[in-house]
Amino acid sequence: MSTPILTVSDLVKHYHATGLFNRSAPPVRAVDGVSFEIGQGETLALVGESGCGKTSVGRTILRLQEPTSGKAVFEGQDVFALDHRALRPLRRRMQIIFQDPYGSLNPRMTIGDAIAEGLEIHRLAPKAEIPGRVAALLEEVGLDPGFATRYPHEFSGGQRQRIGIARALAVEPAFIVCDEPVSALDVSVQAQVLNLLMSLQQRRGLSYLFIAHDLAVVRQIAKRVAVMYLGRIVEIGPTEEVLERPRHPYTQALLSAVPEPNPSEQRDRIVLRGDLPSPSRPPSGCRFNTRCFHPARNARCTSEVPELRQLGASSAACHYASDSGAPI
Amino acid sequence: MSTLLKIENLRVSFSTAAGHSQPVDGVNLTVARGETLALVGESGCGKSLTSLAVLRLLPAPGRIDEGSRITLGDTDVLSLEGEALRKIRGRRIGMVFQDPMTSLNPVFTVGDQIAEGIRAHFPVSRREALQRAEARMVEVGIPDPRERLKAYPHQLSGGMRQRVMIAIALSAEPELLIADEPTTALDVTVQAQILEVLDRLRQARGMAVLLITHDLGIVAGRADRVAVMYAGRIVEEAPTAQLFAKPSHPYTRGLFDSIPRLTGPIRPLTPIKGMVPSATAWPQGCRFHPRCPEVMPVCTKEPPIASVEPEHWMRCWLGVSRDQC
Amino acid sequence: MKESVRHALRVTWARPEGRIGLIILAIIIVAALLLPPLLQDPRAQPDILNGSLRPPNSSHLLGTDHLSRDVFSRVVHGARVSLAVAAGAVALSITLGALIGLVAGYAGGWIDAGAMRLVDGAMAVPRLFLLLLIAAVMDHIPLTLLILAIGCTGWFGTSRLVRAEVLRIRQLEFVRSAEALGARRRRIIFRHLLPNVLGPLAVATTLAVGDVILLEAGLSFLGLGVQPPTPSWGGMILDAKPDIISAPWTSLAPGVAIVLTVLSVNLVGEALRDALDPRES
Repeated sequence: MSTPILTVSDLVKHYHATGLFNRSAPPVRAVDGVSFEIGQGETLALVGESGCGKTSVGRTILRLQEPTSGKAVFEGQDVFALDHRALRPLRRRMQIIFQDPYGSLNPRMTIGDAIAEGLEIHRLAPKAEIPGRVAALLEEVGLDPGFATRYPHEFSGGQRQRIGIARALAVEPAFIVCDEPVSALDVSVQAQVLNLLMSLQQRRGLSYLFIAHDLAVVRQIAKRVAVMYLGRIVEIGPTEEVLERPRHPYTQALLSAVPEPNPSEQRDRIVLRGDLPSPSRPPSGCRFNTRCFHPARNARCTSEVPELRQLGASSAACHYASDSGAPI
Repeated sequence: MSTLLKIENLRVSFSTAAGHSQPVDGVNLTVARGETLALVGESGCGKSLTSLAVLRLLPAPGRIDEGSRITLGDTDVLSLEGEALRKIRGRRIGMVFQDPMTSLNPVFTVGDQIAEGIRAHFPVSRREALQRAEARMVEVGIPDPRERLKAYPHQLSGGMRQRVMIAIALSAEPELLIADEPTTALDVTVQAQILEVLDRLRQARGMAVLLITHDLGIVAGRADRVAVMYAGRIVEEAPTAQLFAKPSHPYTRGLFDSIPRLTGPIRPLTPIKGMVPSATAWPQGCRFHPRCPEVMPVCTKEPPIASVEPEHWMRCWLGVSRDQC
Repeated sequence: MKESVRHALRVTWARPEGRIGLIILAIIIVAALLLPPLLQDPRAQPDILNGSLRPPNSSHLLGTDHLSRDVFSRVVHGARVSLAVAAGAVALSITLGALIGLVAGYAGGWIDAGAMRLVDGAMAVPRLFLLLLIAAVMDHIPLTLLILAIGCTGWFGTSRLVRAEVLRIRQLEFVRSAEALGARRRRIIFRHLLPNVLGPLAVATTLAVGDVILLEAGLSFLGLGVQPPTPSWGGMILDAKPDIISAPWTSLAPGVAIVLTVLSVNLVGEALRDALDPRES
């Protein structure tokens, strides 16, 4: 791809226990060596289940949390090396929208004020012009501009997500981290918000890091997908490729578990044994080894950490994954 | 198959200072012994309230209105009081709720909670109840059950907790299990495990299941029959294969058109325009008509039940006008 | 802000106890503000020989005290003093408590730890002791110093309360969003955290007013607070000590005034707290 807008290398984020009395507890290794690139105007989806670290990746890239180590280069700038003053103008270019429509808006602020906040912080418009800009943004996300004087509790979940999107768009970002933006919404509302995100991407040339757990949604919106498990990427590649020919056993299990809304095409489910290990005590070697069902699984899987390697059109981190992947 | 649960003309109303609403407005459902009926709908359609009404567990100030009838086998559930009512809860009807973290008491061990369910219905000692609890935990596939008896809810993962909920719900061996979005809060791989457990138990015990969900994928894989609910009413009902092959009500079709698919060609999603109406202001006539892409002038009048094919009906004028043309 | 005040008044009025409290408080405040020009001079001692300790009559609504001063007028003027001290001290302590609670809660780390340890230590010392200490050093406490002293010893509980709320709120994603937009700390504290903390803060404020009135009355009763000839309720009770049995109106009048004021303020505070109870929203 031509110069990517974002390059993340070996990102690590560990959470340490706080307080005076439990310093000795092992840190939660939420993100443990994640690397990827996102091109201009492209969507990379980051999928995985609870505890895989995908939300931490999103927040750390934006420096809403400090990374433990690693590098993130956004539009040529090393995000982690900047001091807070230099970071502020960069914040205009990278924004975030959240999963929970109920916690993501300040209940004491009108939505007009919430949307205008970015404009005020970065002095993007003189005071007189702000209401006009807010109205334009509301229209762009499909809401009545007259809503600007209302408070969040007067809106539904889907509408609040749109308001959150308008707020992010106000500063004219090039890149948006979408942290499970439709997971908490009803099915018919999900479709509305997904369509909005896709049309905004077209119109404004936005790049997205789309964090999700629903693979069908990912298929709709992302050209490339990375699958995470316990803090590491286990497979990454073009969406169609990963979904149709998954290489990594975890990806295969994940896909087989997705319920298919077609009674005559039910998949054979691979039911994983055991529980997800704790991110503060990840298994040694390949983290998936405790639940892996690959016939070639052996001692090497417990001792040696597999690196991502090219297998056909995608890459997978598995010692024994084959080039062609198992069709689902 | 004989009918186990029969809900007729169920109406639930709420009267508060803010106004009067009827979030469940004339629901008719039957569940036969050993079958799984899926009740599908989005937020605000009334599906959870319907299930709570069956157990007479409506939150205040909700009331079941006159004219409603709920029968379990030969028993008229709405006429039961006190001890008789308590006897069917858990013993004849078990319930699994959505969020296992808030449904389990954080200060008691899971073993105690399962045992409590057993002792509520069988006259056994605590030791005997704990032994039975252990057996239940094996049934639902919890590893190291003897150890886990002493565990507290927060020490278990979401999937384990949900299994504990199922174990509690099944501890008194009910004839009917009501599962209200049992896997929504869980990861998809864990969801697969839980649904597997439910299926296995259902088959082993010949239990009927009323499965409440918004996920059409789960419905396709697990349900014998499906009822689609919108704005307090059932708008379409059919055996699963038929519903998926020929979704007829515009709302059902809208749902199908708006969900992204994992297989098949990638089509643009067509959302249903507008928003779900609030229970305090149901639209006139057909409640879906303000959002319906095929709305007709007659839709402002109460639509009749129209048959689509044998065992498959919907509440829509479209089913009728074809006949009348 | 105005919107919040109007809302707070509305919900308090909606409750019976709140309504009673608001009415009584309104009467007291209006009386304190508007009546004084119409009343007799509270310091005038027109006729010590014959006019002292007269029971309530047509020319003296609540009788006269031992120096023939009009009790009613003294009670109303005393209200001014008590309310002024209360308003000043509470404004000071709430502001201090809110600021420290906001900063400690949002900053976390050693700022938070340090502030809270300071609060823990300060709360261990009884407030009255501190004030008595000041009084001991200075013989009596001048009015401004009294307000300052009461204000500066009263913010500890509020800071804890505000900090707890801040800890809860700062997890919410709208704060994350403000950070992502590049908001500076000051903005986050005053635009996002403070407005959401106003609820519990309002309750704490109203209840603090009652506390301060009692504190000031107590100090004046001990002769350490407001000094004669400025009328104060505590001072009036002190003066009336010898005549409690023989001329009960001299102590009852200020006593009832104290009770009514504190009661009404507490009723308003309770009503506000009930209104903010999350179960009700």
